[in-house]
Amino acid sequence: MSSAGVLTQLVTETLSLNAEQEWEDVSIFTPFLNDQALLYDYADCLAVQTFLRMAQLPFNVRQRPNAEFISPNGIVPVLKISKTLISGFGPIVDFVYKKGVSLTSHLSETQLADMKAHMSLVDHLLRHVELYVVWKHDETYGEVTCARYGSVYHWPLRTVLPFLKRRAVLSELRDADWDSKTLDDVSEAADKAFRSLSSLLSTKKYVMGDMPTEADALLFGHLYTIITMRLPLTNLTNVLKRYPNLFDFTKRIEAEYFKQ
Amino acid sequence: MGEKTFHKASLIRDKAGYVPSLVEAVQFHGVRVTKNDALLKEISELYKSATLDELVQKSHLAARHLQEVGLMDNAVALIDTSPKSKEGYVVNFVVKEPKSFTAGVKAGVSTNGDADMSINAGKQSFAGRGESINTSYTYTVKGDHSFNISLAKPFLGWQKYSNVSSTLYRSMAYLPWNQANVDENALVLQYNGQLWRQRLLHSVKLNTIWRTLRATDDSAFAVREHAGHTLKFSVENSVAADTRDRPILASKGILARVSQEYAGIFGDASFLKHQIDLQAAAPLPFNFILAASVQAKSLKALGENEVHILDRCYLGGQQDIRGFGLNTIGVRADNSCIGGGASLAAVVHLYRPLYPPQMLFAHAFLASGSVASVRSRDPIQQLQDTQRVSAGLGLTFIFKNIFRLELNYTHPMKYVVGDSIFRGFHIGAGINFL
Repeated sequence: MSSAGVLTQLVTETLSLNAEQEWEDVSIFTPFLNDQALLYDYADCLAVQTFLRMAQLPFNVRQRPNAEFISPNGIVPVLKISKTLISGFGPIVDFVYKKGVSLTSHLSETQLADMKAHMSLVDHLLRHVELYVVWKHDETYGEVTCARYGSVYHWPLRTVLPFLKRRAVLSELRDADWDSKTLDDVSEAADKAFRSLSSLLSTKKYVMGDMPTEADALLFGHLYTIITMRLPLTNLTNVLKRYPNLFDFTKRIEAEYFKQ
Repeated sequence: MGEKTFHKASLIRDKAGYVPSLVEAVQFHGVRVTKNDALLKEISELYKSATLDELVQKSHLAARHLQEVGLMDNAVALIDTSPKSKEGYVVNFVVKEPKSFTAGVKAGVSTNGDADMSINAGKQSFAGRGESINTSYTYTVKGDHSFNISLAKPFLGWQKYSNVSSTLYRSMAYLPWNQANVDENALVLQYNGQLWRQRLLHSVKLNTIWRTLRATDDSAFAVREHAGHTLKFSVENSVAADTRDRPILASKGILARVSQEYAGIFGDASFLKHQIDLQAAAPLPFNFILAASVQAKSLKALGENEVHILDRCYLGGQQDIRGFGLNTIGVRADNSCIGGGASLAAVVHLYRPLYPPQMLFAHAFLASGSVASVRSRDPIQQLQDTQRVSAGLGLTFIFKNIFRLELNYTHPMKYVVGDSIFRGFHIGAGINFL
C-alpha cells in the first residue's frame, strides 16, 4: 500500500503542475493489444479506453512493443498529454478528475466509498488472480504468456525476457503470499470477487445506478478480457459463468461503447 | 656451449652482403610451453636466407615478430658459426615466455574521458601458440560498470600480423547526452589483418548486442520512446592506411580510414552507416607541427523504422568539437540530445613540443562540426546551416601511445541557441582524438 501512496503523491505533484493544460493531442500508449498484451495489461488498457469514452474525451491509441518501458514505472497503459505521462488506470482517472471531468459527481460520500472499495477489490484480488494465472500456471505460461510476452523480440531474447519477467512476477506473488496457493484457492478467490461484484451490480444498468462511472470501466475491462482471451485454463471463465448478470453487463457496455 | 662473445649486428653491417650462408640449425633457449609447430611457422623463413646479411636481418625480424604476436615476452636472436662447415650458421633465440598469469589494478581513462579504475587478469599464450585470454572489470567515477572477457588468437607465420578475437562484455552506463541508462550484453567477433601486401589495415567485426535502454525522469519523450530491449546484429568492415609516426599525436604521416556498418540481417536494428576518417600531420619550421582531421559519418535506415537512438551519429566534446558538451551537438528534444543521421567534423591543430619534447606540447586548435537530424530531407544543407565552430589554446600531454590529456581554454565561436557550450578551461582525456 505504501507504494500506492507514493504513487498517488507523485501523481498529485505532477498534476498540480500540469493540470491546467488543455485536453489536446492525447495519446494512450499500449502494448500490441492483439498479439502482445497479457491478460491484466489488456484489461487495464481496455478499462482506460472505456473510461475515456464514457467521459467523452478524445484520444489516440498508439500500440508500441515497448509500452512497458515507455511507462515511467512499468505500468501500462500510459496516457500522454503534452509532456506529461500518467500510467495506470487509477492515476489516469485521478488526472481526469483534476481536469474537472468526473463521472461520480452524482454520488454521495458513502456511495463513493463503496465504489472505491469494489474497485480496489478488482484492482487487488482480481489482479492477483490474473497474475497467478498468467505467470504461475505452467500451462498458461508455456502456451500463451511466454509467446505473447516474447512476441516483440528476436531470438534469444524471445525466451530470455519472458523467463526474467516470470522470475520477477513470481517473487512479487511470493511477497503477497500468493505463490503457495493452489489453482482451487485461486478459483475461489476469483469466485469471491465475482460474487461481491455481482451482488453490487444486481439488476442495475451500471454498477452505481443509471450512470456509468469509472468502476464500470474497470469492471468491464477485466470481465471482457477474461471472457474473450483464449487461455488453456477455463477455470476463470467457468467461475464467471455462475454470475449471468456480470455477463450481461459486459455485453451491454461493449454494445454501448465499442460498437458504432 | 663454450665461452663465446656475441657482437651487435651493426658490426658486420654492409660487410656481409655477399657472404653466402647456410642455416644448419635454429635453437631456442627458454621454451617451456610454446608448441613446436608454432615456432616452426615463425622461423622457417630463416632457412631461405642466402647471405649472412639477409640472415641477420631476418633473425632480427623473427625475434621482433615473436614478441609482437605475443608468443614471447622477450626474444633475442644470436647467430653463431657452425663448427661443421664454413658457410654454416646456427641461430639461437634466447627467449622469455610470457608469465603464466598476469593480474593488475590500474587507473585510466575511458573512451568517453571519464576517470576509471579497472581490475584485470589475463594469461598470454596459454596454449603455447600465442593465444591470450584477458578479463577485466572497470568502474568509472560516475558509477558506470563494465565486465569484459576476451580471447584472441594470432595467425602465426613469417611476418603475419593478423588475428581473430572474440569478446564478451556486459556494461552498465549512464549516457548524459540522452539522459538515459543503457545496459549492454554483447558478443563481438573480430578479425584484424592486412590487405594489399600489408599496406592496408583491414578489420571485420561481427557485433551481437542486447541493449536495454532505460529512460530516467529527465529523459525527453523522444528518448523514452526508444526505451526497452533491442537486439542489434551488425557487420562492420574497416580499411585503413596509416603512416602516422605516433597515432595519439602524429608529427607526420597520414591516416585514411573508410568503414561501413551494416545491421539488418537479424535483430531489431536495420541501418547502413558509413564513416570516413582522414588525418594528416606535417612538421613545420621551428619544431611546429601542423595537423588536421576530418571525420564524416552518414547513417541510413533500411527498414521503415527510425534508426534507434543508440545507433545514431553524435558529435561534441573534448575529443572532437571541443567547447561543446559530450555528444550534444545537433537536434535536441527538451534537454536530451537525440543524435542525427549524418555528421561532419573537422579540426586543425598547431602543436609545438615543450619539455619533455615527447610528452608535453603547446596546442592551438580550430574545430568545426555539425550534425543533421535523422529525418532531414537535405542533410548536406542542414550540415552547412547548423555548423558549430570553436577555437582554443592549451597544453597537451601524451604518455607513450596509451593516453592523451588536454588542458584547453576553449572558446565556442559559432553555436546554436540551446547548445551546451563551455567557455573557459577544460580538461579532456582519452585515447581517440580528432
